[in-house]
Amino acid sequence: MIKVNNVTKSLDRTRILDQVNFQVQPGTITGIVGRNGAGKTTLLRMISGIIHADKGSISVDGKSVYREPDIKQNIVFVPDSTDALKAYSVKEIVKFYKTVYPSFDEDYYYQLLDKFNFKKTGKIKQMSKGQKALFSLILAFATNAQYILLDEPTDGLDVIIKKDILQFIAEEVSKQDVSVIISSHRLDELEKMADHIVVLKDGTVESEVEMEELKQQYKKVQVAYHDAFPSDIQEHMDVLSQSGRVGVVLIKENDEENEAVLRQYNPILFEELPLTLEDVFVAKLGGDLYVS
Amino acid sequence: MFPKALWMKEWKHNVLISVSVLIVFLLSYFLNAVMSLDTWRTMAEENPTFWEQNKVNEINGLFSPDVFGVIAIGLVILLAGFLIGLEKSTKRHDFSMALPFSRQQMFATKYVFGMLSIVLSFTISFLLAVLVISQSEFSSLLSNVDLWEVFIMPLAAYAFIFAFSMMIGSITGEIKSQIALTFIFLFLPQGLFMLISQLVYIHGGQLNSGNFEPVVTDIFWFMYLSPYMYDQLSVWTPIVALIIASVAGLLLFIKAPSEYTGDFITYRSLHPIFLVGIPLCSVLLGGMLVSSIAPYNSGMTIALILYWIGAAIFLFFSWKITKRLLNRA
Repeated sequence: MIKVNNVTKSLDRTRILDQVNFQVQPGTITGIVGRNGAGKTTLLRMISGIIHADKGSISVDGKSVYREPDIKQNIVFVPDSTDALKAYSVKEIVKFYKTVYPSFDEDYYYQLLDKFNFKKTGKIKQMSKGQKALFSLILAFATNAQYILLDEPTDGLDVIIKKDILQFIAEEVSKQDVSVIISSHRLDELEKMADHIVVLKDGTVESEVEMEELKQQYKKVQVAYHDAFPSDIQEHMDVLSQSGRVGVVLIKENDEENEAVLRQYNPILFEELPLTLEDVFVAKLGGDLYVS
Repeated sequence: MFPKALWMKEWKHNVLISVSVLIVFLLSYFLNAVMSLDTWRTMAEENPTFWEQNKVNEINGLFSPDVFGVIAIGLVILLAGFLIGLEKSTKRHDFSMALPFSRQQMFATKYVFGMLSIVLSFTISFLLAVLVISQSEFSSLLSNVDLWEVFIMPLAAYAFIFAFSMMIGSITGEIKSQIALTFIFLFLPQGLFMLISQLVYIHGGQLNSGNFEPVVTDIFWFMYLSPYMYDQLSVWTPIVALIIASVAGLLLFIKAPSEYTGDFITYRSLHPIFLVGIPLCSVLLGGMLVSSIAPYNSGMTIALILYWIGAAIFLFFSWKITKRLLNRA
């Protein structure tokens, strides 16, 4: 388990992270969500032992990544850039990874290369940006490490490769006993796969939710009225959107009181819509989080 | 202490620069020896008297690194730059720091890789040169050279300069600042001596240069490339400096704040020193340069006025540049 305890970090006297706490359970996908500059990359760099926390501690399976760097054989950090790999060829990097990570599965690595139609020769720098991103994930999962940290894995990629990458991550987690931490500013990508979401805002954990629980807690309702949209509803409920007489409202699953209010104005339409993670965060964080 | 994976990584990224170091040492000693044999034969045949008078100088000159020594110093600094600074200048730094090795292991591997490149390249080249001479008709000339001295003195200087550059690399955030600061600090004692002498002179005083003899001999590292200076130098000076730089480099590398990688200096606590030091040295340099344009027959007053005009101009620009370098603009 990865434990982040009261971690605080400042850069040039600016507080980047302030008393951040959360845990990553084995075999789960944790999404770290936040706007640019929220501290997501700093947090991942600290978990992987690249930078030190000013205060607080980070432990992996009870060991400090700073004092006992051997524990990092179970952690692979995949940064948002693949520049570090560009000097290597597809074959050379295997030799290197086998030496660094004793549990690296070479057969599986080549199987994955076949699956995604990668050439087994040539330099990594000759690959396209999307191929490099996918290749770095293949390398990471072939290590059989217990924890894989992905920093904005789909940033700047086209929709097709993005889909491949997200699907690949989901498949790997279902096959292996691996925990994945993904930082992203895209809630829509994370909600399809994450078990646990940590929302960072201004360097602090704004909220921490389990996806299953979250979706059971709220419901999204579209309502339309004969006359104007009641101002009472706008004032007392989380209205996700409103256009003329039609509005979309987020209410708690068993919130009979608010549901009664919605119905008391005799809606001509009362329909439950599929709930997305974005809906909850837009409503609960004032629309300040989601950046498409 | 030296994990195989780290050796593989350093080899992959630094083999070319290491081979360059070997080539320069081979040119400096081995190839130079091979070529010198022909020159000496011609000299001995065509002008035996001149040869007799100069043969001791010739054999000593062969073991004097000269221009190749200066090139080798540049490459040694570049090697340290590749080992630490280049990694910081690229995205490889995060990749390396995330590997399951301690910072001690990382620094030790880089240090030993670089040091072995220098020591082995130098030793092989030097021994090949000795072998070539000893197998020739000029073998008797080797008795006119203190082989141990011409071997250990430049080698100690190269080793120190490498360790010094590794230490500078541990406080800087990228390769350009590592290389620039290595050169600046290598010559800082002599430079400061010259600048302060000029400051004192322009204000009517005189520095007693005898008090500063070690500055222009013992810690002027280029002196160790000239066998003619060896009677004034001790090999212990670069060796002690090497040990200090190596230990300091290791400690600074371990504590280096990776979050400022890419900046001019990673240690924020050193910013005030640079914020004062760079403008101060620039003031002295500006004063010296501008006062030098004073007409020869003008009095000291003109030179003094020009000195402070130059100092003020350099202070203005150096302050701006320093603030930008340290991201304080």
